[in-house]
Amino acid sequence: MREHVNIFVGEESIRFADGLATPVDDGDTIMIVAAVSGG
Amino acid sequence: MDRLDLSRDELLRYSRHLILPDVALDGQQRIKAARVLLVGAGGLGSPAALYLAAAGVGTIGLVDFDVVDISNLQRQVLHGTAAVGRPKLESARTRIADLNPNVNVETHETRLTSANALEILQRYDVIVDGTDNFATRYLVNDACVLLGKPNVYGSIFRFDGQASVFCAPDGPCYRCLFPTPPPAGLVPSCAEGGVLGVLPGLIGTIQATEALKLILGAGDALIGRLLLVDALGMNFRTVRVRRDATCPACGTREITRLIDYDEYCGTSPTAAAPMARVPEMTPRELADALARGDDVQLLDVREPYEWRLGVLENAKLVPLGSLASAMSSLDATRDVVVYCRSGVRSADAVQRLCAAGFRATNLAGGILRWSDEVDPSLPKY
Repeated sequence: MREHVNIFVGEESIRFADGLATPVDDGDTIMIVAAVSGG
Repeated sequence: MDRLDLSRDELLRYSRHLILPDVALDGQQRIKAARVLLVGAGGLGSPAALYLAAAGVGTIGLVDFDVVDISNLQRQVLHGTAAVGRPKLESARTRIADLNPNVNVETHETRLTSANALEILQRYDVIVDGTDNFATRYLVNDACVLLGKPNVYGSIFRFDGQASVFCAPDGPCYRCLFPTPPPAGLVPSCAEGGVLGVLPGLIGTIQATEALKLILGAGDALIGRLLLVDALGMNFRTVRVRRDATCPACGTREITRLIDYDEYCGTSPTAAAPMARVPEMTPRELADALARGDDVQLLDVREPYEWRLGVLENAKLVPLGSLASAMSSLDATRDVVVYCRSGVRSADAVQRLCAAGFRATNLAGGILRWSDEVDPSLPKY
């Protein structure tokens, strides 16, 4: 996974959990957050 | 931070703050004593500058080197139509002086670089990152880590915005969230992808709010949290940003001095970006070829809503997203010239067409350069 992209399960980044193997429960919200640079 | 006395005029001007328990006289004096640096006087810097000035921040520093362009006015509310063509900092100074003459404005009319960043940033208490490119964002972050200054971060694209407070004591930094920048050209800028004009208003005012809270020591700052704003769904969510022990900036502290951030982000004018290596031709060369009657398949890889703003004659519309499926309809024995608005998407298309065996060439600078150099009647947007 590219480092400018973060995946959050609930409020937590999977980088600080088990990466792409992070378990997901029914009803969990998964958010994909990419770096953007606009200002 | 020193505290300063307020004049009678200032007591009246800030009366709504003075009756607010979390600000009051003591807080307003802190605001007056504060020195805030805005990096960028554009979409985010505009609302941030206006509200921080109105709130009575004693010294506002501004870093920018641009002039006001008419395409800025859809969102950069610090500047007006009369300022088009003038330096943004001149326009900002005039507007802030009118809004609140008690504010001392310090202008730094320069591009923020590794050579000047520490010297400029060290003079301020709070840094507000309203830049428009990754290289300067990593530069601001690393400089804030080295100097121990809070970095009030905001970033926008289309209908989505992000805000956080980085580099606060014990808090994470930008690199903890995004350890490395995206490959050059992969993530479009607002100039390439567009942005809702109000969005920087939402995010820039959040940055101003966080800057004031840091000055006041009030409330819970966005430290260790990333606020995600989705203006289309109108949802505000926060996710946790953890401090990364392996972060080379704030974790292991391997980064002990500022580096060449253009090189690092692959945006250096000398560093050949991957997409710059595709065959290309200038608008004049294409115009000459067409005038000679050369057999050229002209491909427009923009979106249909851009196509309606103006096209090159005899072009075929194939939006970049549908290029793969459209390849079978192209004649591989004929030369293909590809264009878009500015030449970035078309370079991507040329790369893919060449890989698929086509003789494809990119129109350098796209519609914008064509309008400048060949046909001014084709509108720029």
